[in-house]
Amino acid sequence: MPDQEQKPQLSSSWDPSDSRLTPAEGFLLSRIDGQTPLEELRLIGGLPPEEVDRCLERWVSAGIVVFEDSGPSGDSEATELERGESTGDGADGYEAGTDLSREEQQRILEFEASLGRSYHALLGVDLNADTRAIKRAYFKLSREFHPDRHFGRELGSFAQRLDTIFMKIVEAYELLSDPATRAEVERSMNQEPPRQLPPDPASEVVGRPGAPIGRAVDSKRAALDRLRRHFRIPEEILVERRFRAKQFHQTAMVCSRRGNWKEAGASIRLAIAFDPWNDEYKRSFAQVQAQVHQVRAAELLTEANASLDARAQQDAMRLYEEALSYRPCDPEINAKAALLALTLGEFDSAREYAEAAIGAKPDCAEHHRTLGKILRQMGLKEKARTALNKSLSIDPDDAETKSELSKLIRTRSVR
Amino acid sequence: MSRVIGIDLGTTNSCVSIIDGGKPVVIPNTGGYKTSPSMFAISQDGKRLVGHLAKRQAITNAVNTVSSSKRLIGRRFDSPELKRASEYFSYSIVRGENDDARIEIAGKTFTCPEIAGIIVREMKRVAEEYLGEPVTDCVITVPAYFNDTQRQCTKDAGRIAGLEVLRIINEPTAAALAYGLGRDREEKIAVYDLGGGTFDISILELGDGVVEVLATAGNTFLGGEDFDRRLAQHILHEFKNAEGIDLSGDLMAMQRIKDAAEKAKCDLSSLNTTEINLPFIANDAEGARHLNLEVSRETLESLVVDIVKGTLKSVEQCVADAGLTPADIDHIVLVGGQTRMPMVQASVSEFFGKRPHKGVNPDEVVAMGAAIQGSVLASDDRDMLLLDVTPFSLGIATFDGHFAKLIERNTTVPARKSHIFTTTRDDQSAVKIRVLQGDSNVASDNHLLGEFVLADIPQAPKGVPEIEVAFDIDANGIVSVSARDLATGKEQSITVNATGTLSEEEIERIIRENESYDLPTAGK
Repeated sequence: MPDQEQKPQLSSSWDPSDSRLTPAEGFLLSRIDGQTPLEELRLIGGLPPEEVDRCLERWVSAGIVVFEDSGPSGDSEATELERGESTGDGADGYEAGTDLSREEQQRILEFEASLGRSYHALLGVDLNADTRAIKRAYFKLSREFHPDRHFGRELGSFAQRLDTIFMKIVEAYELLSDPATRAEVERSMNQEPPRQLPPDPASEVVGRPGAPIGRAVDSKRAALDRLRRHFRIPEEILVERRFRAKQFHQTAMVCSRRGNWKEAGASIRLAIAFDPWNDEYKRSFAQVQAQVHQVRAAELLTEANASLDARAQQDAMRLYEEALSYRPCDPEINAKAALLALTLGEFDSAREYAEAAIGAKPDCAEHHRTLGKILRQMGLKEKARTALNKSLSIDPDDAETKSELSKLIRTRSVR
Repeated sequence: MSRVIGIDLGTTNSCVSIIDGGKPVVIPNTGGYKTSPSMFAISQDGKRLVGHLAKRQAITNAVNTVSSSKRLIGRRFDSPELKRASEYFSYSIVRGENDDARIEIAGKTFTCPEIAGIIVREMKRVAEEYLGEPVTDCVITVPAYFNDTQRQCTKDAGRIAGLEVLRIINEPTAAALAYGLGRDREEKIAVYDLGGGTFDISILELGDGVVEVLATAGNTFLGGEDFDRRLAQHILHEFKNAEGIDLSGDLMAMQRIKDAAEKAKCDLSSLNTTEINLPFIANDAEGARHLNLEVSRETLESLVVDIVKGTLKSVEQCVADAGLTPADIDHIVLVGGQTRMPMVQASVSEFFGKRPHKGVNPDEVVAMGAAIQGSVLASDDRDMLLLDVTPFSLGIATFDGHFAKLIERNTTVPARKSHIFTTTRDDQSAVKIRVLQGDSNVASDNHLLGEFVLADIPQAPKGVPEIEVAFDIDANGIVSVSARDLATGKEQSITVNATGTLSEEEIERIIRENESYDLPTAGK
């Protein structure tokens, strides 16, 4: 490792758009400005000092970070070569030296990145899930993320990640399995904006797992704020940082126009890391994230060969719910979720989604038709008829709506 | 990785098991017994003896025979439990360098982890002989109510025996694993574990391949040997009444009475009366005296009824801690030889309102569970997952002598909690932090795991510095602590090394020393 006095800086040859970082890593990266010595970075990086060292080591070998006067130019070729090998291993969180498959790593990284969700979303249960469902979800996730699952395997930084994830799962389970704390959690959820945004890098540091809720968190937050004030970043660097963030954001926008949502999400994450104070980026992130989930849900559905594989449908349903947690009022996602819920026989939630879709886009015939379908299957014939008629009034030529209506009349005449 | 053995390191007997063909198998020793006495002795001619060999010569060599050393492991020399124990132990207990209790036999001093290590080594040997290949890894069980120091010491024992200890697990949890293997129903069970020297009760929930400990309680100083002792006292008393001779000062006679009491107690689990015959127990001017006494089951029950009642208090607390009522429990699993006693079974049945499960062998089930956990950890066949809890609250002493709990008892491990501390004086440059385990609000009533000093705090008015102390309990139930000054980022990591545990150098020294002893085979 280089000398403590040395100041790491971002490599000029590095193209940031192809790397993915966890928010915490992004935060650390955003602290690298060519002026802060390593010693100080270990203190303000928002990660434990050993973790900072590890990240830097990884980034140096991936060519993202260089240390000033780090050797003659002859070295740069070697760095280039190394970089070629390990790109995709370092900066985006994946590691080559572990016994985990890339899929396992991906799942862990994704789950870790989404720890800021509500406790319900974390466990994958709905708001009115009973204790049994909560326990089942807890057991299921424990089986996946308990550190013992990978006992004796080489895990690299993933050992810490698994610990963090598991403890967060326990926290969610403990709070939701006790009626008193659960009521408290649900009350505080209602006070906040409808669904939580992903945590920004700064709050990730504050919300370390296991932190006692309330006072202790507050005093930690205060301590960190003080720290941050103490190590205030010079204005000119902030300007540069904002510029970089903007570049990332533009890349992200281009990607999202092309429909490359995953890449867009990664770029926005970087933008947020460089400029955690910009709310626009956070909004874009939420939108993109919703798209990512929607796309994956759609992929899953196609893969599942339509109606046969109920498990894949359940997974897709979960992804839609996740997507909705980012954009609760998106008519399109709501409509798709409604149809899927209908196939799964979950009429109540199907109805909720359909109504949400209509609420967001009242003059779309399709949404009213969907609601009508759902209501008919629920046995609420009068309401179904109203919905279908509404649909017809918007689009009088829709054959499917007409056939729905005739079904409704048929069942009535049979009785 | 070679196969992992599971060791039930008991107070009176130890047992070793391995997974063979997907099922746990208990390995018999060369004598054909499935359990071996947890005894160690140095014979008159200086030989080291373990297991059945040690037990067989205990009567004639009581002073140099160590039994029940598990009752001493990880305890301070000054602790009240130790005072009680030393009254009835035939060997001498001395104060060690770290205020720990050590054992002196044949002019040599042994630490408790060393004695435990010798017994573990014997179990390792039994397994190696059976398997025909070396064994390197193990899982060892401890009473659920063992504290951090006792767990550390048990882990050290494994190392002294030349084994990598993959995991320390709780005995009732191990029993539940063995019980739950191959069952895929969702159910709640209670494991009532009354062994030779310790009592544990755990409430667990099984389902979907997960075994979750909901709560645990117990007493590490209560077990079958207390039953033996009560009966031995009774025999002593009767003999004194009949013959006017007090045998309590006669070590050899006492050892004979102890053995006879243990045997009579076991007999009374199936018989209504039994006879104790100890010929030539004493000599005086009138010639040889013989001890001849008939004991009934009722007599034994009246001698120990308070102990059995006492265990039910822990059971009650444990069920409440789990947030349940006795009727919520689907099955009761009895573990430990003492649960063969009809009165114990009846009391437990009465408490829960149902009969205990009959499918497990109370002497072997713990070792089997340890073997299962070993295979779960070591192989890729990870069908079962164990979610265990910490039996004690963990916290620190506050400056006014109170105990600030940071991790509550029955918290799922691994667990991590951090807390911010500050100074109480202006310009205070160091803070001393005492880490304790227990559930009393008064700091001094709890078990001190260790203390450390966070130094070099920058000068500031009192209450301004903020020191974050993070407590970790790993899956073995072993604690580590780290502290960080939030203003400077200065970090300090502390392995809580308390009184009673061995230092790294000591362990290495013991390992070296023990390599030179080739223990004669026990159990032949």
